[in-house]
Amino acid sequence: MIVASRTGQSLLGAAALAIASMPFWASPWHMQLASTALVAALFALSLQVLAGATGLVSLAQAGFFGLGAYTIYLLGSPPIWITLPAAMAVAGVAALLIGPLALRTKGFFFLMSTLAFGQMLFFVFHDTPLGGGTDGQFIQRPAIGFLVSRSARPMVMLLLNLGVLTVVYASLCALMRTALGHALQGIRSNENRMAALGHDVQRLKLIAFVLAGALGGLAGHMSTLTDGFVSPDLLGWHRSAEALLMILLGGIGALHGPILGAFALTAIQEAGSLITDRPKLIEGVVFLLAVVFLRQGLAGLWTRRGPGTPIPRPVMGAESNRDRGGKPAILRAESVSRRFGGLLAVDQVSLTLEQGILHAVIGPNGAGKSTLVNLLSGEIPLTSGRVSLDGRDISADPAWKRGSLGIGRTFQRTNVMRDMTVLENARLAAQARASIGLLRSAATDDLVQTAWIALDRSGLSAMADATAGMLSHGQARLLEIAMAQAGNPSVLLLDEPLAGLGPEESLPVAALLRDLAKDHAVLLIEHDMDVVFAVADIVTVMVNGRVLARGTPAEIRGSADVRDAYLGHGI
Amino acid sequence: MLTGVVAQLLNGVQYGLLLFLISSGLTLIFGVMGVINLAHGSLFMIGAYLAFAVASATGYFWLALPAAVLGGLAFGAALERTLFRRFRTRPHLDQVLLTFALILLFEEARSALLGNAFHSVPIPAALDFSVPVIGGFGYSAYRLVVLAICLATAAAMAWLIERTRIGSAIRAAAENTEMLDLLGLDASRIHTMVFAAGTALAMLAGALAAPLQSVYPGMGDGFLILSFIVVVIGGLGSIAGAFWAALLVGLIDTLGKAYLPQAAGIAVCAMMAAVLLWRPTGLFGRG
Repeated sequence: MIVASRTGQSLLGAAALAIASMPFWASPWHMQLASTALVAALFALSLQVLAGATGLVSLAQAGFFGLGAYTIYLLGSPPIWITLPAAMAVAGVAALLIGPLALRTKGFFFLMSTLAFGQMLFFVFHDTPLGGGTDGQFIQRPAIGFLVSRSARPMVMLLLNLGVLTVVYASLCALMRTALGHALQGIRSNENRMAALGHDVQRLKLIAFVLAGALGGLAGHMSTLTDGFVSPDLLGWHRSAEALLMILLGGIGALHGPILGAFALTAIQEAGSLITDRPKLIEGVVFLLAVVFLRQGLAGLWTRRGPGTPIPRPVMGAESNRDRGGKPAILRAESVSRRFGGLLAVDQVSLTLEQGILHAVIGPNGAGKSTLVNLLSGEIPLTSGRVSLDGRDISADPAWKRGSLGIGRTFQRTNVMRDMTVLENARLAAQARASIGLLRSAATDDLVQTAWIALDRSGLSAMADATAGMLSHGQARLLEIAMAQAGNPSVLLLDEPLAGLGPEESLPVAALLRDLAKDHAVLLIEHDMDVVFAVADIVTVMVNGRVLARGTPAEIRGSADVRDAYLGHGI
Repeated sequence: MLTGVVAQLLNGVQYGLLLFLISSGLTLIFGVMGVINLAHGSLFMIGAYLAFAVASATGYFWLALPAAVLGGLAFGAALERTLFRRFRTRPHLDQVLLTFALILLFEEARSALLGNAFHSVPIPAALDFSVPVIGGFGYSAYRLVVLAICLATAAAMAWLIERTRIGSAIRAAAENTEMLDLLGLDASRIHTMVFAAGTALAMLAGALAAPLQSVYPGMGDGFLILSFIVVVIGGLGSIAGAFWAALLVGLIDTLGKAYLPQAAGIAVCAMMAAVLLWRPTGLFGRG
């Protein structure tokens, strides 16, 4: 997510000043129009917390907007210092109730279920007498704290809306720089990897959902305060879609995108109704063209997503990563099995991983090696058996929980946050386990330092500011390892870290593996026998989901069983 | 009292079957192409207006049904070729916005061509009588015919998908979008066919529904929401799931509207919430 550059912020500030000066030169009608655009911007900005920052496309947002609006009506128009927090609270609580249900789904299902939940809120006001009927109600507008004459209302509302939008935008800019903001962007980029790193993805998404809901309620509150009108249509899903259009029009990749989009949309609608009696037709055509051709939105016309702002390297103390202080870690798998339909992919496998020991698992394709890693890391649930870490049973813990307890892993196919920089990837890995507050800056020295140490150790420091998606295959493999260790885990599960590397590339990685085994319990899945026999302390041979043999590299090399069953020829 | 309940049950089944025609297209289009089509409800609306236009121009309502099917096939194929295929690999957000823009354009086109008035389409005279069902109470013959047409369509779809070569290609594609290429089938033709069929089904449903309710602007909206709920409850890409879920939603919505009008809309959404809690991938969904 791009937060506008200094120049961009200055331009936004200048626009805000221009709006603030409207009472000196503009008509009440124009001020009213500007208020409409400001409220629309606030609403779209609330949805950007989900759509742009977290990558969740929700169609329930208008429901929260409407709840905020109806709060004024339901409370009987008390003064604003009561209605404003009440509107945010009502919408936030509704989001807290709906969020856990809707967030059980992903992608297409999330979209559909948010649409249905949004409509459910719509029905509450449309079908029941609660909201005063299907046609809506004009309401007594709450007092704003000082005496406001009728004629001064457009001016006061303009300044109030501008103030609220400014405060919300500035707060969200700050939020994007916190650990929470970075974690949300990590989820947008690669949710599964964030979970594997140990981030509680569901909780983070719920936080975003509730925050967006409360801000949506705030927008609805400001809308009704401005217009003095509520109707069930405020909650209709068309409004959510319209907010998404504003975001797309302005730029989904930029925090200020929704503001640009809201003003652009208001301008298009006004222009449309001036030049034709079918403004919706103009709107539809503009949207169609925008969605087909304008991929990055208006913000994308003059900002390019370069690599993130380089973060200066902090002055470092000793390599603090290595010293965990506790006793050596032990991961134990006891008779773990996993069945896929009729196939027993992993059958009663037991193994122990200890700090200081590099335990390699080899076997032909389809032997169940990757499934075993996924069972240990919690990516897929056990059919039977038990996994424990330092004596604690973690068999039922999901992947993120195991990640947060100190199990780091790499993936066979490179699995990183592709649109973030190498350092940001490592920092998100470090952040997952460092118990820092979500609202602390993500750029705190200790996190950045941990990330740098991991990059140093993997030999990736020179690439720190490169975008992860641009790395060569070999560098991406190294980033996988760097991320696994940046979380300061006690156990490392490495699923074919050398896959696809040439001989000159694999030598330094093999040395790195040996180095990592000094202070981690390491499980290594690998096909290259030369590497395995060179670096492993213990080798387990798997065939057809079962353990065929286990021993030192010399024993395995000498075993007739293994030769017959697997190694076959040439060794 | 009892006869009233039976009538409402029949209404619920018939409404559910109409919902099935709409949502089976929605679920197939998503399953095979990975495209979310919010304009699917507008296609229903277009089918209803087509029926109104054909019936009032010619006086023969029945002509509207082949017109809706053939028009739907052509319209759907054109939409897929010009717009939707470009959006297969685009993010969900882009698909949502594309299809929302289409809703605006379809509604405007409808407004420009046929105006914004409410219309009613008379039930064809040949079927404008009651058929005695259980206990001597009468039920609209037209509604029974709609029920039969929907069931026949569902059976034809089941046969097509389970028993034919093209059906197995569609199942393969719904399982895994890349599968078609691997099997050496012409994915692009199958996408066009599926989208055209989905469009035709939605427009047929609209035409069939026209004599049962008024024809009015935005009438597709309620059906869109309900068919989304059907797809969520039934499970993505599952025709059988769409069938049973559509019946369930149709019954709950109809009975709710008859006996507890304030809570009907909420009840359907609450049922979806319950299914999500219990089985996030839907009743017939994979995984």
